[in-house]
Amino acid sequence: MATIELSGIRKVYPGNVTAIHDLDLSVDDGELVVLVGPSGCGKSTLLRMVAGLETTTAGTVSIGGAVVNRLEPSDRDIAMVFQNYALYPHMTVRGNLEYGLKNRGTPRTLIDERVAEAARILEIAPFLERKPRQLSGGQRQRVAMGRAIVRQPKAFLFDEPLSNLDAKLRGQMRVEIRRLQRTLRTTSLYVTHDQLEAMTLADRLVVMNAGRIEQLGKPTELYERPASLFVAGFIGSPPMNFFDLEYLREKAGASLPTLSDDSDIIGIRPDSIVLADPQEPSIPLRGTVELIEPVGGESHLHLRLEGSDQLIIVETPGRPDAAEGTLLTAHLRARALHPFNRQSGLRTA
Amino acid sequence: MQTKRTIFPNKLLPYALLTPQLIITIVFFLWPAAQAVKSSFEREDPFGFRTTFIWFQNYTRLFGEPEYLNSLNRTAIFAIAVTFISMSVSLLLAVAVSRLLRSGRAYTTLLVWPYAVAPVLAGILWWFMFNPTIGIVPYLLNQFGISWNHRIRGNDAMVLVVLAASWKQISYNFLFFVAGLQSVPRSLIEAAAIDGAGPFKRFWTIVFPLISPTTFFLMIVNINYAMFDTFGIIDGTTSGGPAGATNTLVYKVYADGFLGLNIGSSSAQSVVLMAIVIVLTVIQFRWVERRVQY
Repeated sequence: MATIELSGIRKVYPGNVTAIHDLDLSVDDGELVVLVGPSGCGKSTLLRMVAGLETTTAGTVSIGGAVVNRLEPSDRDIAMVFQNYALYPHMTVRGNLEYGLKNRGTPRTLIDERVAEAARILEIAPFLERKPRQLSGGQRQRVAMGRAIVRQPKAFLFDEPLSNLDAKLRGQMRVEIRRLQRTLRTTSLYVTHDQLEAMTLADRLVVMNAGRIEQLGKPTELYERPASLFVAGFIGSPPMNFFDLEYLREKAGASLPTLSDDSDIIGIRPDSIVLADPQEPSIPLRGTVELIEPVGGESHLHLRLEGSDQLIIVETPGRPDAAEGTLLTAHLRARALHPFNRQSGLRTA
Repeated sequence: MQTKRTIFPNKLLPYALLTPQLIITIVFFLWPAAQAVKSSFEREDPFGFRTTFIWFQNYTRLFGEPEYLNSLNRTAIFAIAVTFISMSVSLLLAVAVSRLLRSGRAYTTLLVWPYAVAPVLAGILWWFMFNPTIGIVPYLLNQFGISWNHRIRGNDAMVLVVLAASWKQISYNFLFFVAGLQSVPRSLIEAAAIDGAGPFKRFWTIVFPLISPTTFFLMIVNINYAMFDTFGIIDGTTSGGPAGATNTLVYKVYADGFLGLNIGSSSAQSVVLMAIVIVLTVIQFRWVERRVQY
């Protein structure tokens, strides 16, 4: 059990490419912090720096209060779950679980005890004597988790651990990782590019872009009040719709709420646009239905706006009456508007 | 594996295309091999007028000859030493190169060059370096009070041919080991590092077991090389001497057949060698496919 403190972390690759710009982040004891962002945003690099697999150009990494910059990965007392699982293919599942313990000179009885415990928690006891290639993707994933938990490290580092699984299994394993982390209460840093995974797993969520932290907070906070255009566009699926303020002002008339002067771009989530008049301040927009995507309990309407040619997405419960090609009016709830400044990319109110 | 089938419109064309390769195989491989098998059962008189069919006499005599048993013994020492030295040195070099980031390519290119040197030239090269009269190495060794003369001492001669033959094969092994090492996923090594294994432990418990298919393949190839492909090197350095100290099986086939003109015995020896190649090849295919996998 420990905290992870990153302060003034910078990573510059040869050729003067800066991957991480003076970044500060602290993970509390027992907390699960998720780093999310598009590929190349530096999230994996950051994780690997915590693990000790990459050097830090500047700044300090502390685990459990001690600075670990100069320590080898093995001396940092962390465990990592890799995207491709990185199971040792020539060892049995038991061999994989034991390897880290044996290297540290753990007594035999304790090794057996820990392995049995991990196998019980992860329900991999029946496969202990099998080789990794005889296991399915989900089972391999469990073994990779098992290898992390037998060591009882100070912190877990997850590097996109679910991205090699199919959608159904990913959902299952996501719940399982959450449950496991809640039970063990081990400080965890989790990297993913999947925003749904990020939202559901995180105690706190860090959205990264181009080597910087865009926003840090509870997942719901980030969803309800994105601090920048980037976060607004990245978190939420289907993504937020954006409008020029001038265009909306023209359509809205009196129903547009007062906004600070520097706002010039307005975002609204697809679920805050309704087809029936909501009987509250709202902005009506007319458009042609281009495509209807039924996704089960709800449908996504792609609406081509009249006069601007812009395409917006509306999330509506059930199945809409409208057919593709028909003209209809959508209402933007005035209280759900997110104002931003295009130049700075930041939220204005 | 699904390969694309080509249908030839003309029935004769496929055979025409195969002919050159078939001719080469028959004329230069199958025919001489058949000749060798045939003459291994025959005895020819000194003037080549008469050949008599003598069944297995060439073979039985062969295995009663102390020279042949000595040659068998020498070949075993030679093959084991060459295989061990060339494989361990090339593995060491491959591991060293795989740790280099930028200059790795340049080293790889340089390390492959010896493979392009013709065997006899390689033999002559080492012969010059180790020449007891004019060579640089005996001169240097002399400064340390070690006297070197592979013309007189059998062990010196053996060391010389082993060094020359290993040097020649290191390039080949090196390439395979570099490829093998590259195929070990980086994340496995990183996982092992996090699991508390130092560089040596990582190598012996993770990397080495994972490249075992390459190692096994190279072992067979190297034994084959040492036993059959080193004629040029031995001829260029020691010519089998002194007193048969470096007279390997392959060299003895040449010496007995072309120098001693005992065609029958020479043929019997080459048939024995053929049998050894066949066994090694079978082992290679059977074993590599089945046993060494993970």
